[in-house]
Amino acid sequence: MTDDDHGVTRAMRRHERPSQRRASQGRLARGLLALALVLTSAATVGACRHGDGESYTPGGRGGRKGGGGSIPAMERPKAAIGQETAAVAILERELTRNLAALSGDGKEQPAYFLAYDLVAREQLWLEAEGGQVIRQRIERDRSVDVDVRVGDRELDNGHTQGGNYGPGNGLGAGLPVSIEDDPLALSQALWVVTESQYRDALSALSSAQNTEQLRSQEEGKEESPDFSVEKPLVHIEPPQHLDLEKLAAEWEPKIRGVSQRLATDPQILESNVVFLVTVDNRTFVNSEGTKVQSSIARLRIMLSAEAQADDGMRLERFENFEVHLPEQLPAVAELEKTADRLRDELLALRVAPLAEPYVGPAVLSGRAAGVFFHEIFGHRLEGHRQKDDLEGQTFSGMLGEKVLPGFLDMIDDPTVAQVDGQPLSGHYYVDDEGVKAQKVLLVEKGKLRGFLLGRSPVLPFERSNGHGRRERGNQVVARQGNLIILSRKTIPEGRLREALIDEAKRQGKPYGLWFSDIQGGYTITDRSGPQAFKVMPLLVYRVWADGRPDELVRGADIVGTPIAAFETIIATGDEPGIFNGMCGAESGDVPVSAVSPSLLLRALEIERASHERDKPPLLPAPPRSVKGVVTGKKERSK
Amino acid sequence: MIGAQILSTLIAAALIGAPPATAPTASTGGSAPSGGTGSAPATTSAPAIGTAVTARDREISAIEAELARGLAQLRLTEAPSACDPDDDEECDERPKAEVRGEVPAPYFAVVRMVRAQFLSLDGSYGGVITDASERQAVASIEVRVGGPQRDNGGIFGAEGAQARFLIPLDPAADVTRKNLWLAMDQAYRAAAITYAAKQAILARLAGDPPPPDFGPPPETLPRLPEKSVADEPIDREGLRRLAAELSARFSAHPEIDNGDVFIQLLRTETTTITSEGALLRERSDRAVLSVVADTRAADGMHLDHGRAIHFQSAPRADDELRRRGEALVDQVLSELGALAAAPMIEDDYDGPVLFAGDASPQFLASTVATQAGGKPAPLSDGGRLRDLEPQWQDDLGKEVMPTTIDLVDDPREEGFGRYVYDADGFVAAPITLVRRGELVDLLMTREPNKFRGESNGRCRQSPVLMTGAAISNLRLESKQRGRSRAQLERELLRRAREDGYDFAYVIEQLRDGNVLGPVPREGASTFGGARKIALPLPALIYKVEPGGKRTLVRGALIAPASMRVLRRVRALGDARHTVPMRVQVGAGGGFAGETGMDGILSHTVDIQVAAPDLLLDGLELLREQGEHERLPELVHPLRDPAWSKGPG
Repeated sequence: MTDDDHGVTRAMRRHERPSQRRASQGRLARGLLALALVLTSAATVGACRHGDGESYTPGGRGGRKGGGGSIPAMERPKAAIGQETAAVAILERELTRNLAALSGDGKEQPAYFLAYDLVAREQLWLEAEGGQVIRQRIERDRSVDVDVRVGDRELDNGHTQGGNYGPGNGLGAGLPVSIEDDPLALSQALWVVTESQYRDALSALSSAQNTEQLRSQEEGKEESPDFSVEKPLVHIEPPQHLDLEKLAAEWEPKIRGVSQRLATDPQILESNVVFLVTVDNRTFVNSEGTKVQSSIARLRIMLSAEAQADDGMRLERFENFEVHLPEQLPAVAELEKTADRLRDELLALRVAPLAEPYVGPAVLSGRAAGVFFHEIFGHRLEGHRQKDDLEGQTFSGMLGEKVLPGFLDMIDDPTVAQVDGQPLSGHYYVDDEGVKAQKVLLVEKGKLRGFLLGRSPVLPFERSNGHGRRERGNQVVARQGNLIILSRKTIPEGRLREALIDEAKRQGKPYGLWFSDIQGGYTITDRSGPQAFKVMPLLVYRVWADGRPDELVRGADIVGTPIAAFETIIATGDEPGIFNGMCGAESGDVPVSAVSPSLLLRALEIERASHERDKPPLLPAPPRSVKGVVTGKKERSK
Repeated sequence: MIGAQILSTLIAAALIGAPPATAPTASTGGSAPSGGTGSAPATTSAPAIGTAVTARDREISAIEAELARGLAQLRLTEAPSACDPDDDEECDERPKAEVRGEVPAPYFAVVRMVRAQFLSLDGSYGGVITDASERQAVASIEVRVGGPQRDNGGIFGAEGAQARFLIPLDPAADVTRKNLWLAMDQAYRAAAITYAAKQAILARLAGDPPPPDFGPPPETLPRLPEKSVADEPIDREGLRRLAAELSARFSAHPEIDNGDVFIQLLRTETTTITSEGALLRERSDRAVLSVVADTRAADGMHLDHGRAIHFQSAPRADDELRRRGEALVDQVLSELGALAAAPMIEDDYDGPVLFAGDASPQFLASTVATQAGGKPAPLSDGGRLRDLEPQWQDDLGKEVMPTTIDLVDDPREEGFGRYVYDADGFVAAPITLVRRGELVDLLMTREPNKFRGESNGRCRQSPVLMTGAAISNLRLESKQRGRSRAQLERELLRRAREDGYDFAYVIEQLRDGNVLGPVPREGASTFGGARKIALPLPALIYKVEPGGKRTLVRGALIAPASMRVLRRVRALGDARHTVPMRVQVGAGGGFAGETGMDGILSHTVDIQVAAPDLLLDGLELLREQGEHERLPELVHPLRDPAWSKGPG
């Protein structure tokens, strides 16, 4: 009889005390170092979940209805102005006190920078399955990340070395601290964590210096500094709060009802509906005079269901609605419609034929195109990937060169809160290093113009462009916010299918492929491996050139190399597809969006996906009861 | 087929939406096929006529129906039967191939469910770090294939073929049954695979065949009724304020680096349902208030210390609790302060040691509680892993303690370790483990060993559904006249002199890893093995010298010892110390466990040990060897005069 970390255990284990955290910090650091290396070398990206929107209807069109043009309507609101809370003063005082001690005379290796990043989180997790609540949690916590820098801006403890992005290098910490603004409680916790971060920073700097002494200089390449100079920013928003208890009470019956609907067919083996509300109130101060008080709320409704084909393949459908305000949440009718659709898609997938390896024309519809760009392109433009020797640095030396077809532009703009009235998850005002969010032109008319940057510069760019992001407890690295693809060569969405058939005929191919939804994927950015990607589509249709009805297939993975894949884009649709979700990488999970019109590609390659071979359940599903009475065979024999 | 008969009756009750007219008595019904669990009679009780069928009843009926269906139909080598066990008698007939032993069919299954609500509060320096409350519900299904003589049990790393699954927070028959269906499918597959692996291992091993794998069920299968007890409201706000207030007392102790006041409450409703027809239900409130702190000695040694007050009800933040909490904070901080100022133990020591006060029961809970277990060594590819077998097993019938000593374990006794039924459904009854120094019994569950084939009701279950052997209320009784503390210390020094020392050591408290977690110093690690067990660090240990001089020392480790050390109890005290504890079950649990506050309620069961002071001879103490980090560069706010003056 064994024990595992399920249920009660898992939740109880989350509550660590500071002394335990500190005691285990060394071990934790070593463990996470390995994880970071794995992430970088094998699967840099992959935890991104797809967002809301409608799926392809055979014979119909995909993507969301947009404004009808190729340039979507973007809303960039101004942040509200608030009053400083007591936490700002407490952090400033402790920062001054502790930095003075760490940078004073006589210090062999003084700290030259210190930042405190305090995040208070209020969170509701409400989960239902088959009409019943299986988990409900409301919690409020607060943690502090402490960034200590020793050395100098040219070479410090944040120096990128072999894919090591902490923790254990003095950047990030994620120590749980008092929920309230109690000066002694906060001061004592900051004392504990600042001390341990400083020690880690010293070790990391020593390691970086040794590494650099043994490393040859790359010819013709100027070394980028480790830390940029930025102007101090003062940005104070009012704190934001949501009544989580009220939201839970209001949404519980709705979530239960939708979950019941999702689970109605016995072929749906597992399913659930999650209502997740997160409100983060951040207080950030640094030793350069920046002080930020910002707030963001995210409300998500996630529907997921699983079935199994007779050959053992596990099949999954997932849908996600993500907004900033309760009033933006979808109506129950829309959720029910989504549940019905997911269920029907799964049932269709169960009996769909397996896809065969194929290279041919394809359409990546709306949000699938967004996911594609996010995974394959966006991550390769993140600043730290241009600096680490371990990275493939696909685009590092290609500034000004053509990387996409000339009719495409690409920007990343976290200041955009909505596109065509649809909230974007990657919206923020100030990044996690206290730098104002900025619109960045990444690709202009197909030519590479810039990178996503935090405060780790990539020459010739010496400043951050407000893309330094992290999940609590991690070191900040450059991440995507709202990646937006703009096209000058569009086809009306309704005519994309026709264009796909035309292209298939032109190439003499029997069919083209229509990718309606993508689960996520990964791209190998480690230069020790091929600079390839694999993307896992969830819904793929064969669109036959001879007029046969479109055919759903399963078990296909899109594979290729980024530069070659993007060269084959022929045209795009004219409506933006929106992907909202969480993206996991070296600095943890951060909310992101990708906005792209559908893409018509001359050639995409698919290969057979690996899958489980376990038999489906040995027994048929048990009978269901009606009002407490177990029903007979007829009920269960669907 | 005992289980199926009982279950199908209950299913029928569910089908018509009412309880069965009479409580069926499944007596013989024939033995379970393929070497089933024997013909032990089982009695059941169901809701009486006219009583409302609750959602819980419906859920239990659904689980029993699914267990019956799974046992009747789950097969790997043939397609599932098309018949419906709910209304088709032929489903009770098992394939002939299975009867011949060709198919590892399931013969026993147990579902364990827990619905829990927990409150976790963590106060530190007047602030509240954690204020979390959550309801959770989870279940496990364990499937045994083959038969009691030889099944899939006892394989290292794959024991029990247990699968876990989520259940609704409130009882709901359909969702629970569906999730059980999928989990039982997985558990059965795992059991079948393990069974095949085990057959291969056994075919390779020489020597006598191992004992049977599964013992008989209780003579009378319990069917416990639902208790309609109104839960006490949880005083979340009051307790939260109390955690903050108590932790604010740290501000008077600048010598302490760091610390927390924890208040946790776990309210559970557990249900156990076996395919044999047993139904166990239990509701409990378990809570703890603990103080945990750490600091550095002048040489950099990182010291931690902690104590806990355990409750078996939901505490309220009243004056009494506040008073006890304040005393606990003050005690922990003053003891830790004294430890930080204490000298290191000078050298290794090999001589008599007095376990006084709480340390005596804690020592027994670190040794007897784990080493008297009856679970046999698990099998692995390389044979039996004897290091994982409790060490007293081979000593049954031998003298393990002085002949004046008895060890009695009594779950019926009023005490912290009291229970009525064990986790296998056996009625609690006292056992004598040691009589006049001779080991006469072991802590038995339904997993037999070569000496004992039956349970004696010592299977305990933690809220995370981990089961294993554990003591209940253990007491050490001696016919030898006890001595006063002064007499014991004189005897201690006399014996120490015989060993060439002019001093000796008294341990008054062992480090409670179930409160503190792992030791924060690598140099403090000791490792058991080779028939020796690792013992907890002394938390409070004094060097005593002639003339009454007592010096608190730090940095002492108790060297791993064999269980023979209990034969060297040379003298006992005249007062009994009764200590309630929370420990993990099984050979890896006991007081030497290290759940820390993360698992002190969820991973443990409640026990109690009562014993007088114990003077043991021939125990080895080691001086801790280890490097320490240098002292902090930054100044703790309470040690910074400028900080206390406030901003500006």
